[in-house]
Amino acid sequence: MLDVGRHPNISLMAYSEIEKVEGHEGNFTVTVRRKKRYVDEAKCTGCGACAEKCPTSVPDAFNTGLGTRKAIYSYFAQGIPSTHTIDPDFCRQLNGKKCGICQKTCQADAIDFDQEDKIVELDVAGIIIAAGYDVFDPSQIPEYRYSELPNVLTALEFERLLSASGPTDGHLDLPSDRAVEAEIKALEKKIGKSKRMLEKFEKKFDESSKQFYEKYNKGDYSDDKDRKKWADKYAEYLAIMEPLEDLKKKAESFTTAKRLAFIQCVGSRDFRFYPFCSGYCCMHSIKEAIIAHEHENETTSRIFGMDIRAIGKGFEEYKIRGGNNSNITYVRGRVGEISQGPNNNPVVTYEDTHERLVKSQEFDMVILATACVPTIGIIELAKILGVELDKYNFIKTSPFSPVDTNVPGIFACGCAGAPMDVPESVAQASSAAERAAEIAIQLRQVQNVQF
Amino acid sequence: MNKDILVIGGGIAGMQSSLDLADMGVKVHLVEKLPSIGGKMAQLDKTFPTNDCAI
Amino acid sequence: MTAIAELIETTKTYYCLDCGVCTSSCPVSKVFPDFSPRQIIERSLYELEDPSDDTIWSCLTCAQCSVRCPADINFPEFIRLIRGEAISSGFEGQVTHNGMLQTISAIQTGNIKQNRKFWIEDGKISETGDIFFFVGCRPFFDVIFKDVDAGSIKGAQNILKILNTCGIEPVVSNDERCCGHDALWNGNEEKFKQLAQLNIDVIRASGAKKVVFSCPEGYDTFKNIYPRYFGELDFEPIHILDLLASKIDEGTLKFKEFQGTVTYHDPCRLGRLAGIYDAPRKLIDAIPGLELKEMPRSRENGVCCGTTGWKNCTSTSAQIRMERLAEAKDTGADKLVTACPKCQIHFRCTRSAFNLNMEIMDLYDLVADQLE
Repeated sequence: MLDVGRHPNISLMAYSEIEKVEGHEGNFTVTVRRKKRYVDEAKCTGCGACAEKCPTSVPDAFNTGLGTRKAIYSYFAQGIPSTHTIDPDFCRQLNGKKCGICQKTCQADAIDFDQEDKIVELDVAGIIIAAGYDVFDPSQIPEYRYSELPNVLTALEFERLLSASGPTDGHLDLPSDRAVEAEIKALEKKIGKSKRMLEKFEKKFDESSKQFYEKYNKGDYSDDKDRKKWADKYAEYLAIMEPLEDLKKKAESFTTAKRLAFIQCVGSRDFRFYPFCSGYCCMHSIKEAIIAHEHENETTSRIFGMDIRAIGKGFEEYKIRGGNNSNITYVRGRVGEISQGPNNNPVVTYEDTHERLVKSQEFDMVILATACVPTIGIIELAKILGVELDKYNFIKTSPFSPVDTNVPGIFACGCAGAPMDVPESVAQASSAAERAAEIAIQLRQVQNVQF
Repeated sequence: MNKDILVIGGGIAGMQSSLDLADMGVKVHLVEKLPSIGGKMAQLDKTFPTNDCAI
Repeated sequence: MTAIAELIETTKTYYCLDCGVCTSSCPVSKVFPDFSPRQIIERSLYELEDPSDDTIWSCLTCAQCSVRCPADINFPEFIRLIRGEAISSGFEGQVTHNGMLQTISAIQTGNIKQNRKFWIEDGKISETGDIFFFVGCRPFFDVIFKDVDAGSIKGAQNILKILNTCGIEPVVSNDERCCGHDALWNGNEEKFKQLAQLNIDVIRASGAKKVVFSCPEGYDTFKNIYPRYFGELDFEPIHILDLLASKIDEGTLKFKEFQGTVTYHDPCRLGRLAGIYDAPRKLIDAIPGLELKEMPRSRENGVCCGTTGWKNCTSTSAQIRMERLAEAKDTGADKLVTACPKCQIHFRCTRSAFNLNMEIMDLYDLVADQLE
């Protein structure tokens, strides 16, 4: 990633979109819209002082919504470029409220609320589409109740929980517990405010609120207006304190997730959605189970699926190693439904097709191995480029020219064309680079002859 | 006439294509929709089957 | 090729992935493990399934398996066809109520004179018109299910009252027949076809353009199954809930306040088969003061009431219903509301047999009482 940012031959345009493409192989004219970040890319040093001071927190897309970021943000900590961006949907200043804290904080004077989109025109010989994929939205499968049950996650969400730089610093904290903790935090903020108010009264009347309140309830000071206000404020305080204490007590018993279920083929190999096999999810689940076990070695994982597709060098061994060393058991049977058990624990119901029995088992967390599906923007992009899509909306290529699209000079690689894992994506990327270089370098030879 | 290449998408595939071309001496324009490059791969903690760090 | 092997071809059951989603979704398999959709298909694929297999009659045809099947196999349809084979080989599931309900529908295949308007009292109907009200069997259930307080005549009267309030004075015909739903799903396709033809003739003769249903089974049978056998119909089947939902949107239907909480049971024909989930909820929502508390198994995940087609009402059925009533109770709601006369009878039967404490109410009774 860093190499891409530094390479003298690469001009990086992040936060930008393709608007128009004209021309043909060897001579395309491309219009790119560089979206306004409200931050001057040339000035921003990526120091992050602005984000530290920004008062607005929003769900963090990089952490699949599991954490928060500020309205001015860098997409992720090591992101290239490190230029910050203001989210126009949430920024107070851009939504007509008084703020501008980031502008005052920025030492480099990089914040520019008047910035406009920039239109850039490029002349290129060839184009490579590496637009990637989207994670299948499992809320389309009502029986898995993904949107209702807090501790049912997608594999990518789980990946963020496992990550040391993720929202939980790599601990498998349960989303249901994290919601309670967030509630505690919010109540504590309220309690702090309430306490400061009470302290003023306590100072004024030189008495503890508790003692005063007992007397007040007995009927003393019944016509003292100021003291009535005090009593009301104390009642408010108690009304917050009670649920807060309850939640805190509840939070004492919170532990990390130790019993994990991985459900394979969520959206793939499913005629209702995508009949193809996404290819990488079996290995992805095994990897996640192994890493979870590395983090805490009492973790047990069960992987539910019709078969484990460990196709690739070293993959079968990896699967077996997971079973032997990482407390993974593989269950043959696709999960029929997930329901809510005690303590927000998801309960998985499946038929163990070897034993020919329907069983239900409670877990701390359920991870859905979601399908690799065409990215939402690909339809529009394909229209702009004039490239054909297949029936699922992946870029259409053929088995014997896997990176060529129907338009000469435009190539595709990675999951834009079909689901594939990282090594395959890398191999295709090199292949697409080589196909594109044929055009670029050939042109150079032509030019050499001319001059 | 020109000899540049446009790469659309800054995930693992787009980055690899860009680097390969750049190392060959071809000038690359890499366009990414999101504020930073890295794609899905940057969201991954480790990769199989070697458990190498993804970033 | 055996008869069942032929059915595998016609229903493309050979696409089965052997994954077990059907069996782990099936409300019957959870209580009665001998019944397994996956294993019926497995046996069929190995040519080991036989029409004498008793478990084929345990299927509720509730479509919980088929809507979840990743291979798009229509298991209820497969079972229906196997049942047809079973009947022609002389096997039949266990009928309930001594076969009385099957006999009543069989009588209707003939040329008979009926009085199907006896229940109407002060409701307003027309002799001719654009809208036909297909009443269905509801008013007749009182005769058989008096002991469980079926309330079916009152129910039918209330539905007519609701239609009248909407300004509809529908055609009701003495010549209407049983829609054939039960015959069809019990594997008696011949009987179904006879009944369906008679119904189509009656509606055609009335000249009606739209046919309103309150019964989920009748609606699904007319809308989705009649066209498969008789081609496109020259009238449009409409479910009363869709009609009422549009009246609420128009603002023409208003309700009096009703303080209370209810939970709603999705009938499988109405929900999974006809896709009507929102309209009943919209209706409940439209009554001021009334709060809906959803059960965990609702909408697409709604569980069947445990019996269909008046067959094989067993201890499995009773257990499914007891669990469902307990689930309803757990929501804290005062009442379980449903929109199918059969669901209502089944729940009321279980409630009285096991002395359970849960009020069961028909959605139309609730709505009719609150009409302004």
